[in-house]
Amino acid sequence: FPSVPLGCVRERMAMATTSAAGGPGARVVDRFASANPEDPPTTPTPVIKYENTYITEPENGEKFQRSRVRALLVEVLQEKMKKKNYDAEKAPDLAKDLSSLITTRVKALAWPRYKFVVQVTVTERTGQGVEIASRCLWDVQRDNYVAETFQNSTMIVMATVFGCYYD
Amino acid sequence: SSSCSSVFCRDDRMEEPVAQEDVTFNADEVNGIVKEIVEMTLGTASYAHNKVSQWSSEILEAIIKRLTATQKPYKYVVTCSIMQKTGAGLHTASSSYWDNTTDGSTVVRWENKFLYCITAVYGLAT
Repeated sequence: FPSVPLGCVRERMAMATTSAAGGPGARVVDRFASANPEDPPTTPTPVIKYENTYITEPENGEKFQRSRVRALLVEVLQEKMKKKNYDAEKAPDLAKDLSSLITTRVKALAWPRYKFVVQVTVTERTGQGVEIASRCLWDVQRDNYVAETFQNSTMIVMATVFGCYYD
Repeated sequence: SSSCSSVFCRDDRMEEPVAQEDVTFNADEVNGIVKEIVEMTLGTASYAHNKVSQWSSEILEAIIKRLTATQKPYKYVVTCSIMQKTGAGLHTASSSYWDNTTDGSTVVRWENKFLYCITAVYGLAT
């Protein structure tokens, strides 16, 4: 009988009992199994750990370029708002569609490691006063925003895109 | 044989990895902060065109200060829309491209007899 340290033997015995519960040859030691044997077996989800890229700044050409985003916003607003009048029923959907369309187009610019927030406000034009302001707490050198307004005789649409670098 | 009663004293048996506290956007906490600040700034004020930009600046600065004080590893974007009540409709929508597990947003709608104030806070984890 080979001499095996005592601690080792205990461990082996513990593994043997759990494998007996799982079936012959089952080696998975399921620490997350519940006490009730009727519950479905739980598998511990492995935590994915990403390696450090050591990149602290966006590369050249991958920074949030205001001019490109502004051109994009102007194009989208002009295209979508042509000949549209304010309709109280359709306005919420219009706002949602515009914001998701702009997000898709900004994502297509393919700047890696950037998170975007797009906010669209649609309001009827009746001579009321509106003030839309924003403040941000971010890294001034890497994060930026673009805001564009579109007006016609019955409505005002304001779209803002905020881009934040994520390292 | 030193007996430490202080919390910071521990023996060096095993260096435990520092527990990563749950980094999630706490919408309730932010909602509370925003409601308090908007109520304090606007209260029962009626819409005054010359004061609106000052109000919005005050609200935004105060919100950013309180958010910084929570000491969370987040970048914040706060927008505030103040509109006069004239029966016109106002719709706001937003869409974001971020990490759903750590980032979040909250929108607080506040009104009094004369104006609406819609404040949106977006928190992006770093």
